[in-house]
Amino acid sequence: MSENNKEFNWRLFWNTRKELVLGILFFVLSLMILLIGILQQIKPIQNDLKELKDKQAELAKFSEKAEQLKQLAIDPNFSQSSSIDKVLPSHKPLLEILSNLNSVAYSSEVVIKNFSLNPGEIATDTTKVKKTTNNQRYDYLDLDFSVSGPLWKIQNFLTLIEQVTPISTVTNISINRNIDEDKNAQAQADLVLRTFFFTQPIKTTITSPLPVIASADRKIIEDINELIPNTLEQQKDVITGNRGNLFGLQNQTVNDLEKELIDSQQTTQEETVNENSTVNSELMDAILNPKPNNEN
Amino acid sequence: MININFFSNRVSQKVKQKKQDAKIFRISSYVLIGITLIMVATFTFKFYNNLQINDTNKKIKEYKESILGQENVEINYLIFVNKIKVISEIYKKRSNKQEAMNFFAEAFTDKADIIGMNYQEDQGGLILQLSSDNVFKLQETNEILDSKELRQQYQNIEKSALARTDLGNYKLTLTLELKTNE
Repeated sequence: MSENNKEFNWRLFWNTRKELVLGILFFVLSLMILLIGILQQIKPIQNDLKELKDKQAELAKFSEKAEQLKQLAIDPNFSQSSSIDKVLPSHKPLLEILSNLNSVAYSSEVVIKNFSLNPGEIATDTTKVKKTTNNQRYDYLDLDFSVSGPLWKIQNFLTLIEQVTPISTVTNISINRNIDEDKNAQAQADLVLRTFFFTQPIKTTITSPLPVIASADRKIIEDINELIPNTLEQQKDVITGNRGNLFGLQNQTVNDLEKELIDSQQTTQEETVNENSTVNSELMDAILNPKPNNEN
Repeated sequence: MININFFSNRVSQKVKQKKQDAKIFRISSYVLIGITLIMVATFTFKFYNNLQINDTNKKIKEYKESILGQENVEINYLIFVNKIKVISEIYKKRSNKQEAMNFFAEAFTDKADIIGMNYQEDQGGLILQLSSDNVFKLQETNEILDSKELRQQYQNIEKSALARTDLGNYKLTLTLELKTNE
């Protein structure tokens, strides 16, 4: 009986202090929710917010780049890219230099002599093919030649040659004029003309922003527009100039040529055999039927 | 006489306890509701963030596709801009050699003839050789060289050599520093 009295009566406690029990339960529940449902979510929410911020920054970059790309279609500066390509081509401009020299020499009425050039690999399409590791942005072709004519015409030539495309600079000038014997002696100028071409490998990533054309660059575009454009068309075919076949084959195939060669060899051999047989028969006749000697 | 009523004391104690329990229950209920609301708000916020991240990812994907679709335009533009920068660099290295040559040829008309000229881009200077028919023309040439107008245009002119030929001509060598476009 005394043991039963000592036992805690839960039922009585629940019936009499139900609100206290529920209150404690609610507090415990609240604490659990606070720990599990709220405090543990703070870190993931912080990470989410950071991720969202990063993503929004990334989105802003992409959005700006996409907008810039869209604007390029109506950009008046970018529309001149073909003229920039003529000024600084992405290939070795050998034909263009020769064409320029010819046209400038013709218009300034001077004579070009002692022409020398080392073009290297002519057909290299430098921008697209060359995978250089160095950061060389451009390369050049040096052309050594001499020009003769009156001094003022040479001056005119020097001025004009730097005004044509592709962009060229006269790096060495040596002019001599011997007026001791003839007051109106013509001058001779030894020149080195350096013509530039673009070699920089272009790299881009999807996130890298597009460079902006500064006011100094716009000034360059204006200057470029004042240059005299090269009228040489891009050479893609061998032009014969209606001179027939340059190699003298007259539109014959290799098989035709081979057949013709074999036929001609056979004909030659037959002729040789006929000649030999004729000679042999004549000798035989001469030996067998000697002619009487009229003199004797 | 002492009034001993244990029941009355017990009842009042119980009532007081009951009130305290009710108060605890009320407070705990409010706390639980409050905490539950905060939890709901937390999850709603988390859900909203996830939605925003997904939405942003979707937009990024669309923009990426759009940018990749215009890759050729972008490369052409980069080549264009880099070419302008290279042309600008080449222009800056250019000197006013033709201008100088034309200027001196015009300045010495009827006084001296330009009989020689040397220029090397890496050295920068222009060497001019002038020939005057007689000493009077040489003096006029010298006056022009020392004139204020010419010195304003070309500050660094050095008269490096003077020689007289058998024919009586005077050959004067000038070295002048050219300006680059930098």
